Amino acid sequence: MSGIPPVAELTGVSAGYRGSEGRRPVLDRVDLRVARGELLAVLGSNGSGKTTLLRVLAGTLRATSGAAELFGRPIGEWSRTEIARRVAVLPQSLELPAGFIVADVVAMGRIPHARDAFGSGPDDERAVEVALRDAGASELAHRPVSELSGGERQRVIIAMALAQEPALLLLDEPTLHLDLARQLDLVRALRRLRDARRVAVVAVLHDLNLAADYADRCVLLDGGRLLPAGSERHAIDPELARRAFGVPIEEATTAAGRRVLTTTASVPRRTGGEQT
Amino acid sequence: MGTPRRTPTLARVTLLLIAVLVSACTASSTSSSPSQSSATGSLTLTDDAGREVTLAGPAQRIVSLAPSNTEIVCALDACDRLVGVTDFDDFPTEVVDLPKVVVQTQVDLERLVAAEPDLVLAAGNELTPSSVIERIEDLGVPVLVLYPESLDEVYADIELVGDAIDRRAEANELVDGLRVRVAAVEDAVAGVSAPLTLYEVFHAEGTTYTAGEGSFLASLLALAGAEPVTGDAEGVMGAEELAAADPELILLGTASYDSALADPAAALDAVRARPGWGELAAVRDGNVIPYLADIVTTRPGPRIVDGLEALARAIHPDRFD
Amino acid sequence: MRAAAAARPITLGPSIGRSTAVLGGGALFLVAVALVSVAVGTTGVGAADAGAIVLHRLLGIGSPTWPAASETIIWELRLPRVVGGMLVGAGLACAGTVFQALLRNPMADPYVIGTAAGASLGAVAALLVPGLLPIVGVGWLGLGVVQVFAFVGGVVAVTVVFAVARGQGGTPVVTLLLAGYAISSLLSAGVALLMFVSGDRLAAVVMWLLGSLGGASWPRLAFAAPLIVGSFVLILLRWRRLNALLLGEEQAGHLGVDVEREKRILTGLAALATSAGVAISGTIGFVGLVVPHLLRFAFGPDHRLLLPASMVYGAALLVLADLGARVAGGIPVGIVTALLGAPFFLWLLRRSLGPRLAP
Repeated sequence: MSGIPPVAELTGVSAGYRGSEGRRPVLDRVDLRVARGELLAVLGSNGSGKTTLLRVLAGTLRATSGAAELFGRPIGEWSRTEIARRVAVLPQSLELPAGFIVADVVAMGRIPHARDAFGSGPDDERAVEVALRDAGASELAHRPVSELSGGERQRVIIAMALAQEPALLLLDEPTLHLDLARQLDLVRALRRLRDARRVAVVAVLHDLNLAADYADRCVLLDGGRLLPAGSERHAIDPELARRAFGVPIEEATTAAGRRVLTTTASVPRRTGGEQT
Repeated sequence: MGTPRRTPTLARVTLLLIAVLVSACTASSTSSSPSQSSATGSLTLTDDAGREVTLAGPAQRIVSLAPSNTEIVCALDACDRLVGVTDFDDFPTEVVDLPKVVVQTQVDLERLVAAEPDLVLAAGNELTPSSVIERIEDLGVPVLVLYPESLDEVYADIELVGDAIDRRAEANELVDGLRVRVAAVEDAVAGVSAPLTLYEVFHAEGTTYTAGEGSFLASLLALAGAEPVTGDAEGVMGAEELAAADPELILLGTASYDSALADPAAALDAVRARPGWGELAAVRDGNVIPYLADIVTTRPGPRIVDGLEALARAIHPDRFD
Repeated sequence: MRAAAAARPITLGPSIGRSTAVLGGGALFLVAVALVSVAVGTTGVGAADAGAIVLHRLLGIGSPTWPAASETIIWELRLPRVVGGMLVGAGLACAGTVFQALLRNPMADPYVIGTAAGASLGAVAALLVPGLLPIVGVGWLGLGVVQVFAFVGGVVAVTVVFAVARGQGGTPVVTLLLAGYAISSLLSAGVALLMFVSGDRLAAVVMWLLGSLGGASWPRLAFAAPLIVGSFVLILLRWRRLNALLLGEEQAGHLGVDVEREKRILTGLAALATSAGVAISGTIGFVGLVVPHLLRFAFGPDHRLLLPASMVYGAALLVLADLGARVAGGIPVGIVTALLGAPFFLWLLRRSLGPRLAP
């Protein structure tokens, strides 16, 4: 790819929070390159720095060392609004303010694109419609936000992020609260976004198989360092995963011939009895 | 994007502060005598607050914001020029029927304006709030602030009002008469030993309100041949200070409003029951006198001399028939 | 994927019809209350004369058939009072709406970060020193010393609170609230001390603290109006950012809102409007707290509608309260707003809690 800058590039980036100086930084000399239209899964145990990585990419946390660039420019040079027009973030949890209907909450994603003082233009309405459709939440458009279930709320929040029409989508554990069917819907929708609009996605996922199957590439955060999660053979290397998560990981092949990873740590069925 | 408002705010605030300081340096000066412009008939007077006030002519429609002011106007035989009084006014009796411009100590500006006055006589020391005075002046009505703190100042107020309504001759006559009566009181009590006297204005919960140090009331008591017991500047006195002062004579001004204290024996009993009061010399000797003339003693108008006479009679009854 | 398209086309925000109904209704309410207020007073100047006088003064129509005193009463006393009520009511309600969104706290009111305490200290200090400084009776821009000190006190207090709460990474909302509480307490203690030594000026001090529109005059309104209206305009333009702040500061940041800058700007604007209002009327309570909640309950939390509604209904309600205060014998309007506001607020709480499902 000549000339077109990557969507995001981190070079030797370290980052942490106030009060944690002296200890190992949360992100330790991380190198990462996200290309246009790339679907990247970020894996790692709790506390490994996944949210921190997303914050650095979103420009809300400044790297303490190293270079962080978005679309070829250092992040610090972008204004908040400029970033928000290109980068959308789906946080781990978000409380939606009561009293709004879904369409109006999703429309908040249009704020970085707002042009006139008071109105919402037809562009905004169209973007909201498309975002709802892509998030699988079209039928929720006129529902009050306080009546939504956990999964419905998650889809609305995704729609809000999509309404920003981002070139880079950062998702922090988007599959929480979603049942299996909707999890698949989500990753398929991300794939479609990638295909149709070359949206780059960096998603923190816990489900190894989902990540392996749907992401173009997986990376692993372990002790603040970022490593590719896979090898030539597999998107996710079980050995790396075992080291990162601290539980035994086993590969298996399903009857249909699909490769899956699972943990083999045993948990006794009966409490108080002998281990089986 | 909107520009931050901090800077313009700061500039505005700074300008305001500077302007306030500048106006402080341009306070109006005072003059002591009325000046009259013979051509237009207007007159400029200086009131008790040191304000220079200009009237277009002798006042014909007067609003009074204090009972003492009302009494001065009526004493100068100009009661018919009053168009508004307070709901506390009670003397002379005809003023009770006049429109009430002050209700429960609150000045009702609408009623004041409706009375169409050409002069307002206000009370000083914020009894009429200065904000109200400013408002009245902004509405185009001149205001004279009266606040006498001695007999001489009462005379000066009578003369001031006399100037304002073109009754100076009557004012001079009234003042002369008052001076004569005061002199008579002084003569009557000359040479008599002055008892240490407590004048009780009000009493509640162990605190007594009496004449303040250096106050008008204290000077009246002294003129009436007493040595006044005084509290702090506001006239407040605690039970301990009272015991330390140990007055020989107690005049109950509160008896003017509380009929239960009108009878001397009942008053003595009531007073003796107060904690610590039983030990006071005045109480032990039975020198507790219900005093029924509090109104005139504390209203700084022409009848203040009535009050002085009543005081003298109460303190030295043997000197008067 | 469940592919059903939305049953109805998407329209964003309150519809034109709804906005017109809410704001138009509010405007009618305001006009009605204002008309009644101008026509009612302790003297008998009636509605017909009042209307004629206003038309004459504003548009030069008609010639005076009424006594000059009536004209003074309507134009110099009642009308400024009504206009002052509108400005202060709108300012307090709007500031309350802003602070409730900014601080994400339903108990926030315009005074919560120090405006009332600072303005009170300034005003009370000014009320007590007339004998010492020769500036009493000398107005500036038609303002008395008390008004100037009240305004400056309010603005300075908010500046101090903001500076105290400012940390490395910005000004956390919780810190702002706590600093506001602490500094308000300190300043209120100062006010209490001054009250203790105020002697015979205590009545004047108490009257100011209770809040009253009796001091409204055209020069004072001319000072406050540009500040209040200017704040309105700039706040109204920020409705999107206020909506975004409801999602929390982090998410608002992701949507492109410069949260720390918005805090500064919105706090500054709301504090300006509040201080200007307090300078006219003293500290009138409840309007800034109850009106936003009432409107949110009735019309929803979208600031595109809520902000203008708060201005219109805040204005109308304070003018109504002042009418009540005058009819009740000239009691300070702050008493009326508290007496009526508190029970109404309780009723509102009960209504909004409604039939709750078990958590």
